[in-house]
Amino acid sequence: MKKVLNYSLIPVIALLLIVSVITIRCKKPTDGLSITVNTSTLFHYTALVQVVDNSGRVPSGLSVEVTGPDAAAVYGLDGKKALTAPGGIIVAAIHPKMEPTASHTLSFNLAITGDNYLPLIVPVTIAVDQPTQTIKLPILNLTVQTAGVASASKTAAAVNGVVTTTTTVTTANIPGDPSKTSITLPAGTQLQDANGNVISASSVKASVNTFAPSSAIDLFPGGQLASSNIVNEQGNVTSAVFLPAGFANIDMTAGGVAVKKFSSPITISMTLDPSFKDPKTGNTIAVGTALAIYSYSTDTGQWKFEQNGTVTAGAGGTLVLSFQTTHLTEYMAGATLDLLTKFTINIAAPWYVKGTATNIKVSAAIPNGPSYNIFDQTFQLDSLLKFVLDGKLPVPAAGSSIVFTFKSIDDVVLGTATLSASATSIDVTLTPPQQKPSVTLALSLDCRDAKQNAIIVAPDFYLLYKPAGAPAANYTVLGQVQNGNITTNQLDATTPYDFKAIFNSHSKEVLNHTIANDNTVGNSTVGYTSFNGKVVPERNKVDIKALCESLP
Amino acid sequence: MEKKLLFKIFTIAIALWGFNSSAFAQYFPKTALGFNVGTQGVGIEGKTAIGGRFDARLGVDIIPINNITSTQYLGENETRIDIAPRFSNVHLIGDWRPFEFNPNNTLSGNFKLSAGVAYFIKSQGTANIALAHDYQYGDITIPESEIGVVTASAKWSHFAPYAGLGLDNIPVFNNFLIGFDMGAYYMSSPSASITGTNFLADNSSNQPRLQSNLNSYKFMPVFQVNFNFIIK
Repeated sequence: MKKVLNYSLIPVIALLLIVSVITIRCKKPTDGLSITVNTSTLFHYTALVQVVDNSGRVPSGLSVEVTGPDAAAVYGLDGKKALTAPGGIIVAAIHPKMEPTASHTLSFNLAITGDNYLPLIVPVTIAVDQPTQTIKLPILNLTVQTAGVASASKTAAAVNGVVTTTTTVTTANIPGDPSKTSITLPAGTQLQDANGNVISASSVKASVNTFAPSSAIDLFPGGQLASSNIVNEQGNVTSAVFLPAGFANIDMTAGGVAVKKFSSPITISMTLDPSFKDPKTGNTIAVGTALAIYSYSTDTGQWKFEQNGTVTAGAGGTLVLSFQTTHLTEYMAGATLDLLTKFTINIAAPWYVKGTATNIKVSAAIPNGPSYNIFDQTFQLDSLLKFVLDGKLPVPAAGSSIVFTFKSIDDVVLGTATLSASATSIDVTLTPPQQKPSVTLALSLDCRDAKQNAIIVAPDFYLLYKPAGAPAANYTVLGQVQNGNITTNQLDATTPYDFKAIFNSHSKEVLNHTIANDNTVGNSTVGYTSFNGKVVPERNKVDIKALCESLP
Repeated sequence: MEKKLLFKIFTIAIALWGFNSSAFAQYFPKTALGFNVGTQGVGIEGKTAIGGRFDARLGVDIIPINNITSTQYLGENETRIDIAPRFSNVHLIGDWRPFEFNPNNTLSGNFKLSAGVAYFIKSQGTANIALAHDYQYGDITIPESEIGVVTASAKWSHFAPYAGLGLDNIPVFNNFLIGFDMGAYYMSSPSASITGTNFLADNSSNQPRLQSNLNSYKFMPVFQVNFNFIIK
């Protein structure tokens, strides 16, 4: 046995040891591997609503509630059901299992409220070929002077909820515009809440805001002239596009309760835009012109036909429409046109490079209609080369037309198109905008403090920009950052910008940042798109670490 | 797991050796046919004497394991890993018995040194890695089935030299011999790759780490038991 050990077993044991060492020294194949879930592609449909305060202040303390038939499909970019509006930016993302189809366009409302702001209900529709959209509209700050808006308020005495003295409240003059609104609250009027209950208060405060349609049309209730939630003269819910000659908001509070109804009518007189043309007739309004009066509920976003009124002569040659009502809300007087429910603008832009953030401003006006644009929105070009305007525009009146103007982000006209009759689409060819070098911004999140993993790819989010130091209201959507990158030719390499990243409740600003377009470093290019210059993302990194905290 | 298997084979070998040591005799079959079981899989093998104390073996092996499933955390996510090893080879190995048979040392004539080469028809392992649970993104639940799969694979070269030693021609009963081989195929470092689908598509950044982890997997250890029948 001893001999056996000497000759055979020792090499056997030696080999066993060698092989064991080979086996043991091998690392576990999965050592240090980290499987990450990139939800960047989770949402295929998003809509960004940018609410701005025309006074230049950053809207703060806004609350958002999603209502409407497809509210269940709406989430924040962080996957949370609750939407927020940091700095007035709201991004609605559609649950991937509830996306629009060819036969079903999603429809929901964003009800935006905030202290000292006039409530705003923004109707949003998302069609199957509308993966992204941006809606920029103002919210009225009730505490500051806003261009195109005049306000007035007065407190009237009351006894047990009954007004004791006839009180008239008239808005101040709007510079260069005759628009004005006056309300008269007769003595003996009983004040009631939304349910018709008497408000037993010793005073009532009446506030009136009047809007000049020619300069403040973007403050029209709902942020757009089109609506598919209108109770017409026959009591049916229908859709239409409003063309206001005047509109106003009236609020009253008594004893801290909102006054919504009266026991007897109050009188409202609106001084109208004298240049208003009814596109159905092509005639400018004059004494004797009949206009429809509609009311708007800031609670439901629903319009309701109230009555027809006749224009009368006011002081100083102005045109006035007076009517009586027993409830309070926002009112508009003007004309309506049928709604164009399906409408797409097909874009021909051979200069467009797929994947490059390129914004196009689209406006629509009626040449023989009102003086203001009936539609203003900024679209981002994508590979579909389509702008979907379902339910946003009217059917042109007989003998009338709608003229579209397309501008670059620098307000250079790139093309025009005319719609003369009802149609589902028009085509337009756009000339190239000013060609700035293409740059790629790399926006990987440095999450070493917030997360175990270090630098990760963020879920998609929107990036806004403005010239460094410009008012916050000037923030413009640059585009959607996907997989941590955005390529654009809208930035100038010699100009400092302020950037703002929005990820639902979290936002991050990077101020006074100059991006790089380095043509001096060899010929190497980095990034997935490159033309007209070099792409240097490693020099364009924007720190948005604060967003890490909100990552799931 | 590999270490446990090695230990089991070693234990069996020692047990068989102890049982038969007193009955060892000198058997040098001219031709034998047999099968084997070991870390390299299962296989069949033909053996022939080529003169002196030299034999040559020609055989095929295959690892008959379909899939091995386990769960473990990779980073922050618990994953389910489904490994599919695919190894099969044709090998030609020469054996040399350095010691003469010595009646006083019953194993001396059975000890052999081996060297050869194998062509691996398949020499790769694939691991499909998926999340073990649904993924929660905010208030949205992404079903496990829709998250995607990370496929990590390692491929070794097809040709691999072999070196080892063993005991051979240990009689069990008439015309039935057993033997043991211990050694390793030198496979060289594998080429690793990692790809992902759906929401796991961005995991290719793990590839350098996987490659680094697998660089030391150059050897395929062989611990096998041979069962041979003497043909003549």
